[in-house]
Amino acid sequence: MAEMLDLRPPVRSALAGHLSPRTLGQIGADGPGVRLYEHPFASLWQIAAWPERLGAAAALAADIALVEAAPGPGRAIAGSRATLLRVEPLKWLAVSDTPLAPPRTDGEATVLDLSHARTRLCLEGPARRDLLACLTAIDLRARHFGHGRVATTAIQGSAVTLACFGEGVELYVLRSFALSLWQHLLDVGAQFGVDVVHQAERRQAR
Amino acid sequence: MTGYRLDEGGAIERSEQRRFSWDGRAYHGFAGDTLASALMASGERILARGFKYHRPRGVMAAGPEEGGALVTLGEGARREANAKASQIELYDGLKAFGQNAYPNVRFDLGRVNDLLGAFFAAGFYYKTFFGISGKGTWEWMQFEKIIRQAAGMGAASTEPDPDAYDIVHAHCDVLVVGAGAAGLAAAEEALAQGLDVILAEQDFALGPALLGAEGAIEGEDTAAWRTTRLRALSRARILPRTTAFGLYDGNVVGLYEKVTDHLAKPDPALPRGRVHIVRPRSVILATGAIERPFAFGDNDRPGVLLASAVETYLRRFGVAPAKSLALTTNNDRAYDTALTAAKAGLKTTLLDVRPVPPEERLATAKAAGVEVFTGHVPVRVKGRSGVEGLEIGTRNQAGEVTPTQTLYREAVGVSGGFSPAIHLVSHRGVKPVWHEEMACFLAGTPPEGITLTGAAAGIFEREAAVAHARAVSEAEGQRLKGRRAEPPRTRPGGLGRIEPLWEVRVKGRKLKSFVDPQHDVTTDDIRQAAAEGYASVEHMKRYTTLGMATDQGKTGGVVGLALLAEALGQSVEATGITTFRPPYTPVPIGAFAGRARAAHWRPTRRTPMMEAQAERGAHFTDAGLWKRAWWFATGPADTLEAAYPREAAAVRNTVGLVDVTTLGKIAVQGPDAGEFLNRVYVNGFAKLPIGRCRYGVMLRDDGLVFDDGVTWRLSENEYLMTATTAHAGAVLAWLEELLQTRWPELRVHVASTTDQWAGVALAGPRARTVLEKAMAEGDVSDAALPFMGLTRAEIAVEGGHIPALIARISFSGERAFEIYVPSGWGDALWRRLTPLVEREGGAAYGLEALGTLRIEKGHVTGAELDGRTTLEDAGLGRMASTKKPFIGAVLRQRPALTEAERPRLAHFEPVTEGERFYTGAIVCHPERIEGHGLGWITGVTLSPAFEGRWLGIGFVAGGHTAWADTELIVADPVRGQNTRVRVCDPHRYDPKGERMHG
Repeated sequence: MAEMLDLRPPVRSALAGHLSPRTLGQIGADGPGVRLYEHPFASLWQIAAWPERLGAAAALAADIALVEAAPGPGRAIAGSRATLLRVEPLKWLAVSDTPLAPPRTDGEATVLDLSHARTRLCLEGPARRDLLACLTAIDLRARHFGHGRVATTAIQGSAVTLACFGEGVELYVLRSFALSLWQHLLDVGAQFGVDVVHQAERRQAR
Repeated sequence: MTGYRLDEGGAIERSEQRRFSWDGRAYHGFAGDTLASALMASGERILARGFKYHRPRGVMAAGPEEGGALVTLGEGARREANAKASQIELYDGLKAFGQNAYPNVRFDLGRVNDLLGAFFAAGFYYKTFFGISGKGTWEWMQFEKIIRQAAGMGAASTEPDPDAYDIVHAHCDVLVVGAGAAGLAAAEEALAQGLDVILAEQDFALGPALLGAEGAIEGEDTAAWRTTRLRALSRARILPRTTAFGLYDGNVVGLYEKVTDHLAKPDPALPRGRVHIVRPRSVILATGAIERPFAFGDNDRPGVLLASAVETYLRRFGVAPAKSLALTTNNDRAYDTALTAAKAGLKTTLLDVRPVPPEERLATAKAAGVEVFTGHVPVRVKGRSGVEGLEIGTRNQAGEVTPTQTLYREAVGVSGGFSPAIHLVSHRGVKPVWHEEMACFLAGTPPEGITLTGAAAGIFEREAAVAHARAVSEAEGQRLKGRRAEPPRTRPGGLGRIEPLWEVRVKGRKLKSFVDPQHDVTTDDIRQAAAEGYASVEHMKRYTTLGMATDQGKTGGVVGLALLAEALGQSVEATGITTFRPPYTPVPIGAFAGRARAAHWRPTRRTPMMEAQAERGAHFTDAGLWKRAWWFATGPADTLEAAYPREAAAVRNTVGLVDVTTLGKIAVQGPDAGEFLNRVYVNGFAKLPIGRCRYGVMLRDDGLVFDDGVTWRLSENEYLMTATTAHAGAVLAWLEELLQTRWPELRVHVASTTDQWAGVALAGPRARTVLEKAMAEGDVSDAALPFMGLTRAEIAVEGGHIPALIARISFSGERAFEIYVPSGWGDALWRRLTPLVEREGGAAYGLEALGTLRIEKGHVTGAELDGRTTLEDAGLGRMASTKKPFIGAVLRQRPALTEAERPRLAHFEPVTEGERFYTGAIVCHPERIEGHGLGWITGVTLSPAFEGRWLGIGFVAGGHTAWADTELIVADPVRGQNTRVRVCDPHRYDPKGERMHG
């Protein structure tokens, strides 16, 4: 497996050619209202439970991510191997920056590789909720959508899963829609002052 | 005789000048001014011309009820007609123009209409133009064109709106609409209870009525009270310049925020406006009240204002409408205005229709130097282009008026009472209730979560209003916390005793008295409507157009219906009021579109190969939201017509490569996946071996074909289903529905993997050669990968190897492979295969050539499977299993679906070589070229496989065997052409499948 992975060429971003750092709109003295970047991941697995075996699937998900307990509906937890997002009553997404081997399920759940099906955009900055309020109808106030919250909604007509971590919001968007959505975010976001940054810079900043 | 700026006072920044232009001339005002206040201060009186009679009009109000000063703002694409001067915040560089006048509002040739007033009474078009010659509508339609030329106010820009708008979603505990004293107090109280508060105010200033006001609120000087409240509200979300335009089901409130209209040089990244869709748990309406006038002779002349507006201009803007003022009232409120005016140095006279006003009021006014006439009313305004005087008279208890004298005053302030702004709660279907004592409509019982306070609830006395607002807010806070709370019971009041007065009439005198100045509706029009049988208030409105202008009858509505009631000899209560509907004030239509325009009208879906295809000259077409490569240009002179037969021929002769990423891909997983597929598809799937593919067709419940595609069995419990590009979403939703509602016992999960896989089809006699050259690992020989086989392989690309799923499937009829790789390597796959294909003499092909190949082969697509087609119609009847039930199995047996005469799939060839026909044309018998004919054409192509001739696919009654010896006609009534055709077997290209199997 490891040998095979070494042979893999780089995965091309759905936003390739559109990620160059730049600013849009007016950047005030307090800095940009919104910072935006793509945060690629290596693996994204969907774990789907059978209704009567939910506990077993939860244990499997927790095992994959290396967390004590898999999160409940609308919640997310970052584990040491992967982040788990409970996106549906019966479904988790396990997202990891390093490649995850195909999980063994023993029939307790189904797992599905969606590593190339999503693009992860990260939205930070004081106006991030204001920008999202221009795009989706869900209640994004901090007390309802704070750290560790997950919601799947529609933005510009395509399905997007939002996950809130600390001072940032991650948007898991369908790969084929990613560029269209990225451009939409930049256009609508310009009023708040957008700083498009490189993901590596953000990691360092953290 | 005209307005001027007072030496001091007003909440304007006298140190900050604002330069603007009016009708091309330069003016200036100050920061904090409106266009109306600045023009009034500059001495401009005539700002507009009336709708029908083109009479001169000036400022009448100080808010959205303005019915006189309607102007056009801006130029070019940003030209906006019918803006209310009293609502336009002044900024440097503002450009405003008079409208509805030629050559200008001061001298308008259209004023001739005023002399022809008799012809423009209610219903004049109908009476004048209908049946003038003959009875038909033709004549009317000719006149209508002329009328339309003359009608209308101002002209909207015909250019596309250059501005952007946002639709913003907001959630909160309490939304307070209106930031007057009551609104500020309600918001403060809600915040103090730890609630999340949004406060919206239509004005650019918060507490606009408190600006320049005297006196105290809650023991604090008014200005200081306002400042304290604003400081306390720093944690609330405050939206100035924001009007609540509608209140909808579930207490969803629509707000429109003007973002840049008041800015001289707005940040180009800002939207012009935002529609806020607010979902509050509680709505507190502190929307205030709107003063209404009463009608008297020539009460529309420039210089006639609402009394409260006079006060606003004096106090807030430091502007007087004239040196002398006659106020006329039927309640206590105008006494305050009189005091303000007298203090500002205006020669002030007050006419009170009430013979005995409250003594204290009378004494205070007189002490301030106000001349008071009790039991007096205005009869008629003197002066044409502005008030020069006011003829007054006495009014006895029977309401009879006797003119007495003329007062030479240059402005008139009118107060006929107040109408609480109950529009929003009325949007929820709450009927207004007439309050006899206050002579106004109050809201009926509002739905849960909506409360009214302050003047909107009929509580006009400021201290009482603030106390009520606090109590309402506290009760709402308790309710939101799940506790029972008694709403406060405050009696409406605060205007003193009102003597209802709607119109001043003098026996034997004909007066032109306006009810709705914006639509030029007079009191005579109302009476005429009543006399002609328009007895319902809704009919009267439509007949006279009262309240149908941009102010929606905010001032004249109640006056009009009271006059109607009088004319009908019934009570106001029995007459009722017209229904208020959103929007409360006009909202730019572009704001409702939000960002959904131009490039953002809908999202674009891109395949990972799009960029590489564009580099090779691809032209793209829309397939749903997807962009699909349509054809590949070999040079600038290349055309679609030349390209697609060339691309199709390459597939037949050597090899072609096409992007099939857009196909719907669905993972079907779980121990019952096979059983599930077996129930969904008409053909058997229970025994599909691992590593094999099968073409399947699924029906709807009603037995008609829903979708088709190939399903790949990847492992014991995992299948990869493909669906058509068009139906991908609908198929997934259908599978989910079946699993959740019909067969919850099946252990199956379905999920879209459309975005996970990038796919190409490599088709043609040389396809395998190309594939083998590209592969680093794997075996695609006939033995290892027979037709409908499936294998895993590694493709060598620049930088490494990528994993691929390869299936031996053919849509073209040639030997073909579908190769799927994870999307992030889709670009690499395309770039790897294209040169190999070209080296074999092949080419990349697009959607047009794909269509050619499938038409030649007789494969169906969404064009044929249009929701009317049965399996048999599509020539797929033999696929249906007789050994198992499947969705649609029963209803497909209905007699109408099994008739032999149904249109069946067929090929159509023009009899005369070189002739062509088009998709959508109708197939007819030569002797009956009419109606829906015998069938229709669903696709047409120039066909390399059939000697380069035109070839059509479509349906014909009974199928091709029924017409073996008969030429038919393809009729195209749109293009006016008929083409003789032969009907052929649609499956005659390589009927044994030797090319794809071989």
